[in-house]
Amino acid sequence: MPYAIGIDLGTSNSVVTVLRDGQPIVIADEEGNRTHPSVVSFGHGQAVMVGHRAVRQMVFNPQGTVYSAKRLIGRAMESEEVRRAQDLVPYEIVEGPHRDPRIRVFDRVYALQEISAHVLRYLKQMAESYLGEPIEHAVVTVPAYFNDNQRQATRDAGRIAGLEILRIINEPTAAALAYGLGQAKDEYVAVYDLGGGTFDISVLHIMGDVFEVVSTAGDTYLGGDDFDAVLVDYLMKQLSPADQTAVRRSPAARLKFKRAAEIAKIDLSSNESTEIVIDDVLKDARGYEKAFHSSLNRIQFNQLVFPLVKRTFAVCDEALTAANLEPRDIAAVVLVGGMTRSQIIQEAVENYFGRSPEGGVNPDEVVSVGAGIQAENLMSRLRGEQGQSSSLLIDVTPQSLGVGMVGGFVERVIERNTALPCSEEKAFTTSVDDQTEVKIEVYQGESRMAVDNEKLGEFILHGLRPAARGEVKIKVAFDIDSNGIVDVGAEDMDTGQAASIRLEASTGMTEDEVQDLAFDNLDF
Amino acid sequence: MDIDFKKRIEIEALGRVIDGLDHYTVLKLKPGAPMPQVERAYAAQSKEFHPDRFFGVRDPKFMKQVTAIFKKVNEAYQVLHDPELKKLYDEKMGYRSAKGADPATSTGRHKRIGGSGGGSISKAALEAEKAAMDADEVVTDKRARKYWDLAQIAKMNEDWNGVVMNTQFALSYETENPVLKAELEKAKVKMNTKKKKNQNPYKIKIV
Repeated sequence: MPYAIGIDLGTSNSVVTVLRDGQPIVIADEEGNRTHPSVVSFGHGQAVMVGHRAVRQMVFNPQGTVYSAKRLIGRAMESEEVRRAQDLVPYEIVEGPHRDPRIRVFDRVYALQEISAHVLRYLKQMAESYLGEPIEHAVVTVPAYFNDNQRQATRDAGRIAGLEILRIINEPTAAALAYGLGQAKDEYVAVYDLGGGTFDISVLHIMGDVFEVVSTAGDTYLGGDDFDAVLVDYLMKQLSPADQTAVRRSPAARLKFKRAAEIAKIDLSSNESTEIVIDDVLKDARGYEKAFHSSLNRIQFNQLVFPLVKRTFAVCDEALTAANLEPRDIAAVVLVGGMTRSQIIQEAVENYFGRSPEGGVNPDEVVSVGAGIQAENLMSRLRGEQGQSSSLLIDVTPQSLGVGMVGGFVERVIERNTALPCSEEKAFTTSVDDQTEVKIEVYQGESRMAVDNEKLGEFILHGLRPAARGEVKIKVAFDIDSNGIVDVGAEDMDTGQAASIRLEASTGMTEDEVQDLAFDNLDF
Repeated sequence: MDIDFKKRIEIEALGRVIDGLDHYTVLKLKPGAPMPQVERAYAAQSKEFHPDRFFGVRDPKFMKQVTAIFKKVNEAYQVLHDPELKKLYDEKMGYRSAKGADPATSTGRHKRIGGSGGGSISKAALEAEKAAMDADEVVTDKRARKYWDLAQIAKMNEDWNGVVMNTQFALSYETENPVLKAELEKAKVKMNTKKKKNQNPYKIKIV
């Protein structure tokens, strides 16, 4: 009876869960750790380390140790996020063959999908040694605000790792599944997910064992790392200009500051003030190494991060407005992500929703548990089990989909938060006289302007009837299945001429590249 | 995964008629049913017809039918779950909203966003519907046949309440149809036997 695993593939940490006899089991490594850093360290030669062992390499081998790969996966080289990462990370980012960022480690260039695949394979093997049997299927979570390219890239990472991805689900949705398991509730639940790299809020309507996603919103540029960055800035300002320059130039020193900021932040969740000491990070006038000393209290910390906290509630407003609900309609608030351990977040959440967040939910593990539940739901069907014993998740489109128009605008065809599966069509027309073909460009995002959206793909409809502009009617139909796979078709309503596309990632990797890299075909 | 034979027949039959059904019938509700019932019905119908219930079925035609049905379930819910849209719909259809509806149930209810979903099913669906019409000579009125089809589905599920209800609906359009009348009587007998079964306090299996 094959198992399927649920994987929370996090920016900073990953967690893997399997459902055994209906009970979720979070799988630990041989040291007993239940969360595993999403860090991959390449030694010289073939040696690859993942998880806690890779973290220990960060200081010794900063150029060979890759972290936060999730921030880059499925993005375009020219995107804001890649530019920001280039300033922040010690490893080298280079341009790949499809305008995609790749990472050069020593003399080899890795696609982000490969980096994530190493993490996935590590978790897969951990689950296999726990269960004592091979695992081939998984559900993997992504932030609600991941676009189609990022989701496809994550799927490819799974395939490289030798996993068939049954479904990509949103992290907050997974958390709600875990929260509501076996509870037979009828209520609205909000999931506030502040992770290492992203913030997501989702509102779900739980009706017994049917989980209906009502709305979801997020900010891909807001996470725990940004809180750390604010603290690092604050600490760096205490240095002399010469020391500042020296620290900025040294990847190892920058990393030490980031670590210290993180530790201080965590310390302030339980203490009123904290001492910050970073050994051997500066040099004195004679060139000897010296330590950095500072201190921070909770009031100072809260002042520093308050603008970031405020931004999360602007996103909450957006999600509730889209759902036509008020904060008081929410019966339970589930917190997800390590950052929600912070006292300022818990207080702010209580203040906004008028109720304290649910206790008894482990913010680090709840997403993975939900992924494990959905993995078992789908796997039980694959095994041929019928009946209605498992829970059902009705998901939505995370972002709007539309068609590019003259003048750089986007005309929306499917609104975000539409329940899946769904289909929708709209009529378009030609923009110049005697136009014989039309290019259909598909965009994802909320902006009216094409440049601010993610382009998912394009195709050409040939053989239009020559006529004055505006006379030819073209029907464009979108269809999204319950796996979130998007099909777009266009038809000339006079001639019946038609063309269509199934959207695959437009940045990233081709099918051949994925196959070539699949770990099963390689020796380690 | 192999699909249960009965389920396959049900989905094929429902797939033929789903486009012509009103929102309440899609959710297996009485016209004008109140909000809490709409929510429960949506959850129940989702469990029946969400494509994930048939995950891994390698039969594109069947999965297309399931998906088309679930899109109609979503579409019905999108209208009936929005108090304003529901009121307009009830008025348009001439349904009386259920009496004594708790005013609290009409607030704090989210709107379903976007997609009319399923409205654009292809020629294949239209042809299937036409075939269904040809196949059945018993009932001639189009509206009556819709309920007659539903009664057949209910019969396959041994849902005698459903058979009685839908046959009665069909009869309201073809008041003199002898086949419908006979079917109604048979279903009533079945329904009453079932009730007796349910009343058995000792839960002994009646053979």
